[in-house]
Amino acid sequence: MLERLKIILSPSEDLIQKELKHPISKQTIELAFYLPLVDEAKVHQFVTVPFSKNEYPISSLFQSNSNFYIVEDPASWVDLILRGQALIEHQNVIYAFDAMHYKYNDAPVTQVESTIRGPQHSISEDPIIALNLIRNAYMSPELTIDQRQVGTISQTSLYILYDQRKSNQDTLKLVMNKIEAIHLDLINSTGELERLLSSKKYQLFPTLLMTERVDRISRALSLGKIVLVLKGSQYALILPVTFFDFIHAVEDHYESFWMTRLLIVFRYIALFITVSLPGLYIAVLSYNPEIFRLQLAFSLVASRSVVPYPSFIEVFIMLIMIEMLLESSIRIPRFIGPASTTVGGLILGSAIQQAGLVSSVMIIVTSLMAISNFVLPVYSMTLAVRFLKYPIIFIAIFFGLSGVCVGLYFYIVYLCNMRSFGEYYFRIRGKFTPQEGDIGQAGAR
Amino acid sequence: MRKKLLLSTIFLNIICVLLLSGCGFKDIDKRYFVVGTGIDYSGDEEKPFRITIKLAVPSVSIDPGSSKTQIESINSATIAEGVRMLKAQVDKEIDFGHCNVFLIGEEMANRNIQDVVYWMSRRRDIQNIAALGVGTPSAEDVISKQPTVERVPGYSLNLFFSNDATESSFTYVELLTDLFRRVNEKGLDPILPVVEIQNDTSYVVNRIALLNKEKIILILTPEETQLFNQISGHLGVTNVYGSFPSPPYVIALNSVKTKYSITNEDQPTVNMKIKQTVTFEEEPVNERSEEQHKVLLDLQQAYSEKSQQLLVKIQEAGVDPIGFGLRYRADYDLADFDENWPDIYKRIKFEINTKMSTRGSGLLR
Amino acid sequence: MNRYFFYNYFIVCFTNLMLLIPYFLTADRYGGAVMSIVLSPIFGYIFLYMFTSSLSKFPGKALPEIFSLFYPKWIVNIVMVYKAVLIGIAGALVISTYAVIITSFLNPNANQYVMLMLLLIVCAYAATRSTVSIAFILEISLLLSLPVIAFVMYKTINNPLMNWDAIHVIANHVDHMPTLLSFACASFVFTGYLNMGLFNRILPPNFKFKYIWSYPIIAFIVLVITFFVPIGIHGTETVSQYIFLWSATADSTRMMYGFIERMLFVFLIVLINISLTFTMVGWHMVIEYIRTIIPNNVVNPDEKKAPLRSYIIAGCIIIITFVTMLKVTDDLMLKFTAYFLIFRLFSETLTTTWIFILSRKKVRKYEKEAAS
Repeated sequence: MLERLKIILSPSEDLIQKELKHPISKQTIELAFYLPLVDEAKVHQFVTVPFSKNEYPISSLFQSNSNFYIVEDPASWVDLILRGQALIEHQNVIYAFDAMHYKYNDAPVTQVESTIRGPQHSISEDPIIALNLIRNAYMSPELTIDQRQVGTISQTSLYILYDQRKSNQDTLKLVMNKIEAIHLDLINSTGELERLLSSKKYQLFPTLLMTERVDRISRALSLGKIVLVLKGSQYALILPVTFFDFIHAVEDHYESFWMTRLLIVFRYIALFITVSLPGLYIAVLSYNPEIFRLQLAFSLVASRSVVPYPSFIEVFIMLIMIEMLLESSIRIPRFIGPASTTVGGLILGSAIQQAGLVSSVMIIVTSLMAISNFVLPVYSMTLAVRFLKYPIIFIAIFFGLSGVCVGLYFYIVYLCNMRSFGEYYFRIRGKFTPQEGDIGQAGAR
Repeated sequence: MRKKLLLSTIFLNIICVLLLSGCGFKDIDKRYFVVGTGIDYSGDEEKPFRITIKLAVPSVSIDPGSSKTQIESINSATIAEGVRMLKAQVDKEIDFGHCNVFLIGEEMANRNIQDVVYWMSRRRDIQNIAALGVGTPSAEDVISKQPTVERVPGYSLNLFFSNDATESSFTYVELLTDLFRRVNEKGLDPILPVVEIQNDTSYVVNRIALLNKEKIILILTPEETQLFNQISGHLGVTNVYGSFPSPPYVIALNSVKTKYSITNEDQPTVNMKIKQTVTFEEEPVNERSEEQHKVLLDLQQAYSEKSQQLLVKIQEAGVDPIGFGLRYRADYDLADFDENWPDIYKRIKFEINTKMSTRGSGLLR
Repeated sequence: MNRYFFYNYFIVCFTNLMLLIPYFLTADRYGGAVMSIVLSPIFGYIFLYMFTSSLSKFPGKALPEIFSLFYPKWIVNIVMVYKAVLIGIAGALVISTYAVIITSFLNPNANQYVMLMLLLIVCAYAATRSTVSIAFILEISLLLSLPVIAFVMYKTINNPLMNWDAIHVIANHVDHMPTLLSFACASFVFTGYLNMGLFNRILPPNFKFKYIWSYPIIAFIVLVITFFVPIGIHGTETVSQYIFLWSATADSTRMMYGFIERMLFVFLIVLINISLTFTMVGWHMVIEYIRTIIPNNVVNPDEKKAPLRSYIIAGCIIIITFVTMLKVTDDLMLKFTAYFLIFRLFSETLTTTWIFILSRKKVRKYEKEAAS
């Protein structure tokens, strides 16, 4: 049976295949099960221990216990073993033992990526629970799990998951080489791993996706991507990714079609607003106030007339305050939390405008920019985009509206030039017929 | 090492580029927006241009009547020089970017408008969609008036000329591109609306002035202006194209479509077909609805006659604002337009055919 | 994959505004301009078919590789330098025209040379990217710009100021013989296929050019709109008085219910997009052609890191463009553009015919040498 199983199932670290030989009675059984999916104690209690004790003949044990049943059809082995059954062969009869253990109760609740009506559990810091959840979500025999150790002192186990048939061999080789090349002492979190695996240190956009959701992981596996699960960290890494994966939330597959498409459009609008709005404010106010209508220009003048210094200083003051507010709300102790809302809302909002330090339009611009920053569903992209507006502000101060356009064009050039493990990062997917082939030498997706 | 060199070169380049620029940075509250300009004839031969600008003073409240403006005037030999000198009279930078209304004084329009039009087209910050007009008795009087109920400075004159506020059939909106085109075109003559003041605080725009390429030749009365607007097809997106009083009836025109063609015989003729849908606005009290058909025929006849009188009047003044010359050029290739066209224009006969179809008579029978 | 050819064709088609082509055509409007406009699609069709059929015989090979199959290295080097200079001049003209437009409308108090330097640096950086990246940037730029261009054209055609009589007057002049300059200008719009001389590298092996019968039709419509719409709005006489003709035309439309009232700013923003993209594509071709001269050149359409020689060539282009713009005055630039367009007409005709003849040859003399 074991040779047959080796052919059908892809080689995986968590597939336990044992051949037990009893030295006295000279009986052998072959045992095969997926370690994360079964309750190992149960298997020990019902199979391994009675076999080694050898008080009763093992076949009578199998025939008397209703948990064991005979499997006639070899075609159903894959299904059974993926559903957490342990397959036991004894004297050319295959038995299946139900040892399935769903670990949904042990799965923690999602903290960063929540949905309204989707699954609420995330993978856990215990890799066995994580692999249990993933295997339950992606029941395919092609799912391969490899294991490596990273970090010379911490020796953290890293599990590499991929679908053997769908994933790209070149990417896989690239990832393995990169993992071998890690020479740090301690690897404690997925963020460190992400930094080490990205090809360039100073890049602006993330090329790996960190996620805690099981449904995103299973969808990524079905698309042929590679997932890395680190022991001790609640987040998994998905690679290779494109820019559009960061704009897409998991809810887009659960909710109604039209509204989700509209929300994707809003996310792009929010991305544009958060990157360019402060720069546009400076450019329009100080270089080209004739763009807008007469009434708007006058209300801008009226609100700016109380402020004593030029517009970009105003922008910098408000941006620094917003960044400090956002950073401090991560670290504020729970009991002082409400105070920070008061500080942010009242003081930064109304009082600073009434004192004449900042104009009222600037408050609107800043809050719009801060809110649209968090419309993006993935946190690493939110963080990356938060940085992008500062160069645009610089270039708007010196060059005005044309500078903003040129800066945005530079970002598009930079994005199109990025590759994420060989995959094109920012490419609009068009009609692709396999017999024609794709452009360039890499990237067959 | 090489990377450090590359990075430092790029960094130095960026610093150099940034240090050299930033010249155009001027905050919005250091600019004065001009919301109306008037160019008059000052009566002085050496300094013929009198330039008046209306600057908007920003204020925080937007209650009606709280808008404040500042008027500055100057006499100068050329317009560009005058604007330069005006800059010395105010404390902030003058910005023409929002100036949507330019008025030419009547006396200046009776002399020559070409200098003014060329200056406005050449300047890069004056919008091509700015509206122009003739101010009577002088542009300075019209521009200097401050209407009592105005929220945003300079806005009420602006609103006369923008199509989303008033849509009167007496007002003709002339944009700078159109005027510049008409000043130069062969076969199309300029038109300008006439703006005057009423009751010392509000504006009336209900007449148009017809010009040849340099000065005013003819000013039409309000009724003629309305008729002109209707037959020349210049009313854009209004719903009611004005009314046509022909006692004892008054009809409101809901849609007007004009088409004309010019024949090229010895006696060139303009055949104009006007198609209208009308609604009765005023009728005699005891009216029979069966006679509506006959009433319409009478009205059509009256309308055609009135239009013909207007067109003949314009023809005798020697100007061609509707564009018959251009149409003649398009249909029949006319060599040496400037010499041959005035003769042909004098000889043209107008034949107008009006067709009215009624949409009803309001809410009453 | 046909869409990459589409984008290359149309970026050249839309950039005709920036190379002063409307200026030259409207200067000749009472002469042979209309006849050149009518004749140019025929010319465009013939050469489009010639070029694409010859390129389909050399799958995956760009012009340097094709030439090196038939001729020894020194001939290939000379031809490549010559083509690079031609394309580089077009890109430099476009980008400096746009710098002048920025200092006229958007930023009147800025130093023209600093603006030019900013645009040059961004274009040169973008041009050093790999060919595949440039194809993607081209796609995204055009997809972002095309709806806005369509909107501007629609609004301008439906402007109540549009005078069809004036168009009729000019169209009556179709019976005049075309002059060389107006024919060169009109046919420039149809020469976008020359970019495939480089982008053939990224096309997949069994690629077939499909639907190319529709490209000259669309380009012809664009050319007609570019020529006739300013005449309709500005009349037959004032069109020759504006320097930046289409900017004045775009400014003549009032968007009453729009967020921005003057259409000029929308038009300028989309024009900056198109100018930067055209220059980027052109200079990328220059860099790639000149790289074939330098020994030890590795051809990789999807390279990860741009080699140092790309940066050096880009730096040289920046310096040459900048120094030229410092010295050249406006009317010298006009004359130079006119000569350049005529020269380009002849040069491209020659190149297309030459490649067509090469593709028909049976014997590829230097193929073994080239493959090594």
